[in-house]
Amino acid sequence: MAEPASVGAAFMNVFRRELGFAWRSLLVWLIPGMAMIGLTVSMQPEMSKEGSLFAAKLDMVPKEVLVAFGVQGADFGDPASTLATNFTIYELIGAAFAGILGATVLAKEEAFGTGEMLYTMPVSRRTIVLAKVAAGLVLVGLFALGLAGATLGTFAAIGVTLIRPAVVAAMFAVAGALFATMFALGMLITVRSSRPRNATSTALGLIFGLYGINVVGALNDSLAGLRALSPFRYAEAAQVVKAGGLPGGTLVLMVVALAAIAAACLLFERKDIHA
Amino acid sequence: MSTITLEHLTKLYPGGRGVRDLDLVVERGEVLGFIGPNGAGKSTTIRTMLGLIAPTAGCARILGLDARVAGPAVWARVGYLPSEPRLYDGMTVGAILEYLGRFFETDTSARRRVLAEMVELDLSRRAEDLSIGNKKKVALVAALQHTPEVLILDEPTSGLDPLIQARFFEVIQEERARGTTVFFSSHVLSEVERLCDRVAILRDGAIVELARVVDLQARQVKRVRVRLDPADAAADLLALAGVRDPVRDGEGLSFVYRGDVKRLLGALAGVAVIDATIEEPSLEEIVLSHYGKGGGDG
Repeated sequence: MAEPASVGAAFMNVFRRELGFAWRSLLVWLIPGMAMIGLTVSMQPEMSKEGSLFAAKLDMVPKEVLVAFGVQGADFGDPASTLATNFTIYELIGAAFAGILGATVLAKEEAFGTGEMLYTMPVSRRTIVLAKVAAGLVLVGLFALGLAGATLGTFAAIGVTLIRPAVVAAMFAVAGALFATMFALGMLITVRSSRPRNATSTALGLIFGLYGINVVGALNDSLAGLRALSPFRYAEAAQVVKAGGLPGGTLVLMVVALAAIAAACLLFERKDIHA
Repeated sequence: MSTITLEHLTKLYPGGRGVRDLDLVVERGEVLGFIGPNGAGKSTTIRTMLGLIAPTAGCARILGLDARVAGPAVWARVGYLPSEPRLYDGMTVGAILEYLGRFFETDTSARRRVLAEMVELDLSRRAEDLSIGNKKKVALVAALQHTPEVLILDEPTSGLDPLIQARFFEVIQEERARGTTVFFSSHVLSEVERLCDRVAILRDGAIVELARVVDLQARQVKRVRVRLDPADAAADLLALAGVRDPVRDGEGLSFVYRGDVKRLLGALAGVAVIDATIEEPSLEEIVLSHYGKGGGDG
């Protein structure tokens, strides 16, 4: 009589498969991200030299616009502060990668029709979901680490000494928390979907919708309350620079991520699998 | 001892489609044909049995266990061949089967190789390069590599060429000889007639017939072919109660007759018959005589 593999062995089987499936996707997103952040960081000496000029120009921009795009309080003499002025771009790239990864991590088995075989293997759905989540979190973590590596490597290569290295580390840590949150929310919104093939577009809609809420909330005082709903609000690099380390919003992101993963797991266990 | 039990199993979808109040027992070592036209609810029944979808009411048990509750303990003892198996693109057949085999405690590699040889499956080919037939071969090996006690086959031969179909039948016959319980869904009745001990007929989401294949074949249903004098319209013959699906072709007339043979012979005596053949019908004709031809849309 055939016996099921242990839970740990089944978990590792799915985990390894997921990493094997997604590493190319990680590279496709990460390499351009690393190139972009490296290129931007390499301009730090010029930014520092022309800092007063940039600061004067930013002074002419309404404060709401600076807040909306995360460039308030910039000090171009501080590499961490300069990095914070364009950090939103990398957060958006990472959030898109993480959101799509999360939205497709379960949906792809149904969209490709492989779920019917996988979910009749002797392993519980919970084990499968947790293994996929673990692999997804490793991948989004690697994305944040890759960006951090490109940043620190470029600073070192151009001979820029970080005044506040802990702040730079905290920026990437918060970005990692944001990516994990977007991964979890992507998974949650597609877990009950009857159209798994639409998972990628659904995820992109979610990501840019949540980013838009943060921008609109900053630009319009009457809609300021909406910002609380956007994970981007809690991952603003300018807030990290201001706080000098991890802001309280990091905890909010982690709680939201864990809650979304738990909810997705519970919903998926009850889901009807049609393919 | 029963291996598969359905008790008032019901799964309803919006719009009223689905299966209703299915009661069925499949004994250990039995090969049960589960037949019905496309859309009758065969795949819904199987997916509900396997716990892929939740029943609206009732329950299904395999080896005494409900797959929605006992999951892995059931799936470890079951081999399932989906009607349209899909594989992981970018992986070789060998890698896919190894991946699926690792969900079992026992080493499945030796049996995997034997099965792959039996169905002439090239383990080095990539999934995206495979034809439907070869994908079904992969799914069959995946379903059998852990030597299951129960084999659930959903339309296993649809879309296959006759040579591969014959190979599939050989493998299923071997499983049968080994004592495996087989739940065989099909809309091709001749397959069921060839392989199965009993047959359950599903129509519009309900089991309308459950009988041994030999008993179905022994029913008073006959295939009648007559050649008539062209001048004879044969209206009396066609008006006979129990005549179904008449087909006129020049002098020829064929139909399925269900009823008293003496009455049939009496009716034949009353028309200008040049030649007549009365024979045992195929299982398909027996079932269609029960269904009516229009019953195939459910």
